[in-house]
Amino acid sequence: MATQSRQIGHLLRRAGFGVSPADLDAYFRLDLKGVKRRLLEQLDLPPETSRTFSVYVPGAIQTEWLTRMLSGHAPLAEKLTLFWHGHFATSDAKVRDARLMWAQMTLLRSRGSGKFRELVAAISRDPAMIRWLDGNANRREHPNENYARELQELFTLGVGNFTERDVREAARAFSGWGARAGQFRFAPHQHDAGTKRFHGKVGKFDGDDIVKIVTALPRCHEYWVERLLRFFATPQPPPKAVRKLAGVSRRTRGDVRSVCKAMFELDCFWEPRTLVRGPVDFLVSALRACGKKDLPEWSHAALQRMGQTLFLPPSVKGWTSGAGWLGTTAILERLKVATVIGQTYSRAAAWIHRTAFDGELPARVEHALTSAQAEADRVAIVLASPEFQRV
Amino acid sequence: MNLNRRDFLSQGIAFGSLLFVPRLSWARGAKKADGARTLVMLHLRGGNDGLNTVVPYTDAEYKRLRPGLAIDRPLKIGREFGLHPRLDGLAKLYKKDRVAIVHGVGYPKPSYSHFRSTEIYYTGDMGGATAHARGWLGRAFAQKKSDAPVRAVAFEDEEPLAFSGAPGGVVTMRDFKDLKLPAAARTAAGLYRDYDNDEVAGRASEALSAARRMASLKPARGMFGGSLGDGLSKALALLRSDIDVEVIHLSLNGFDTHAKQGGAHADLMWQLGQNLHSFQEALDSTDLGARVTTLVFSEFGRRAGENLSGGTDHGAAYPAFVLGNVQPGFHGRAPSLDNLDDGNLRYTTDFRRIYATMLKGVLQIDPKPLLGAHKPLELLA
Repeated sequence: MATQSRQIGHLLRRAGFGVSPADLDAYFRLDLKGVKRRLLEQLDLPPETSRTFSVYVPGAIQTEWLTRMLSGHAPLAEKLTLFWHGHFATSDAKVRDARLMWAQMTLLRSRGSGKFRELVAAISRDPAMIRWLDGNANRREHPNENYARELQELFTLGVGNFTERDVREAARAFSGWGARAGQFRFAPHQHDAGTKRFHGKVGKFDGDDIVKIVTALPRCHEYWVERLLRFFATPQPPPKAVRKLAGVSRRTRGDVRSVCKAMFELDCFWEPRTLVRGPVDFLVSALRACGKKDLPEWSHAALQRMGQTLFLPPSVKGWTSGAGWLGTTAILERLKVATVIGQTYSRAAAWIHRTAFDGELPARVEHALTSAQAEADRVAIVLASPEFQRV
Repeated sequence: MNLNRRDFLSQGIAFGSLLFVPRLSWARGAKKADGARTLVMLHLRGGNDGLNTVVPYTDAEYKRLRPGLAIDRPLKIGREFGLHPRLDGLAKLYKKDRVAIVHGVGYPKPSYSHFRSTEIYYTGDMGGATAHARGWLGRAFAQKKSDAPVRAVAFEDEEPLAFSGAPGGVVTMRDFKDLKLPAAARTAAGLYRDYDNDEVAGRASEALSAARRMASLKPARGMFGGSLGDGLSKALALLRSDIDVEVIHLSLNGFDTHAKQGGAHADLMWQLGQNLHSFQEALDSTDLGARVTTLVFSEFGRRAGENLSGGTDHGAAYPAFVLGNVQPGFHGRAPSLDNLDDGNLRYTTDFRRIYATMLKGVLQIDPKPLLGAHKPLELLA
């Protein structure tokens, strides 16, 4: 990648939600190393919450989180939270409690750059997750395998790296782990305290033990770093990159921040435009590129038509990626969003080539702009361009 | 005759077809290509409990395995089997010889993971690496190419894996009205023309092309209701239009009944039966009845025995339904309840044979290069 501007822009697009006019001052004065350092330091900052935020207002949790992505002071923290939100995908369609969903997101944000094992341990006790994967139905007399399965299949190891027996034994270990009145609650009389055999180990395991064992497996380090790479770097992570980050994870006992820092040095992280921006990323980046700090009221409907509603992933497997975002309705919606933003914030035509493309317009975008006089059309073309759909 | 509103509407459609001979698309001024047929795929997501759908009511083992959940009074459709009592709509179609029921559908070494088993059904492939898996319909479309801008429509939020690898022509959408483009978007819409060999631009161009043809369609009336009725209303509108769609894909959620299954499953059966009935009756009132074949499938069935939460856990084989011009009745061998595989029904018909049947008989695509050893069944009339 040629200029330092392009590199900084690329990093901000991948580690955050692109570039706003304010960022042009804040970040582009620094060198690349400085930007990396600043993004990682921001992980320590607690999030800012709007003064009027109330969890009980319908749609408030989506609006609040999107607003943080739009104008928050820790882009990498929010983007990492979005990643974990897809990784430990929990849907309000079943949880039906905005307070619990917000609490889960808060957990993901506060622990999302710490140790992976602690994140998994915390998520295993999270009331929204318990409700989502039938934790309360997991009792000594009739173990419910849902969490035990998805913990291994989707959160830590992947298909083929555990047996049906591991699922059954883990279910026994998690029995009695439930949630009542929005709080984690352990019911000892519902817990199967017997001996379990799990991934070659034998003992009277409970849920915490299961998490300890599974997150210590070499496969677990590989699994979660590969998922991280698929989200932040490339749809096909090279085995070498996975091994490198897995090594960092092992050496640091699963430290997410260290793995992110190492990821910023990988070749595959620096290949431009290999990832398709998800709808949230696209919308937030488009608004930021125009200098917007608050969320238009049409945002929720647009995000739904583009295929991504926060707190409502389609399944526990999380969000799609790549061409999965480009269904017919979804892609037409991006074009419509680009058009509306262009009409509403046409002044952005003065700077959007800098915020969207680091000052260097791709050739085909430049060509398309020659037939567009109106500022609104110019902004729309930039935002609807195939190049803007990618990071 | 005491017609309720729904009967009236379906009668209305029948009268309508008499007035607008030969098909309802007459008013649009364009005809469908002769012989154009459509496969409608309906995925019951979550794993439908086949044993309580097609009930082996004479088998004592059935009641023993399900002391709480066994269906007492199924709708008998033969000397051995009956349908769930809320599947009344499907029973009516069965009596009109519009339904084929395939016993024991599944595949060897079944996976009990929703995602993995869905992948297997959508790719027709049991192999390991699925990162670059191509769907069975995607590969079929690649084998028999077509310039048609709309070959398949999935009424889903995301393009089903079954279409992955298709060289174009797959539309993924919810509402026709979402396809309308405001005039202000036209300038930006022209931008994709300059891009060749770009996936985003290619899909955008296809979407615009599909939108031109489909944005003014209106969902048909007369379907029963709920999310399935909503989907079938749109499917019917599409089928009545001048677009020669080859495949329509829909799904119905909610079948993963691990706990307190009784009421939930009954509701789903009602939704399924009533909607299929309204859909098939609407098709049969015109020549669409001869052109459209519907396959109802799931990613697996459920365990033979009930669990301790009043539900059933992930299982294996289940009965699939094919509707339209079929060889009516039962096909294949029902899995034995005395010879379970670790508590699960053993498959007797590989689902890939049903796919081969649909490829050959409906889509007119040679199944051999795609599914090799899995030969078509004698399911279609």
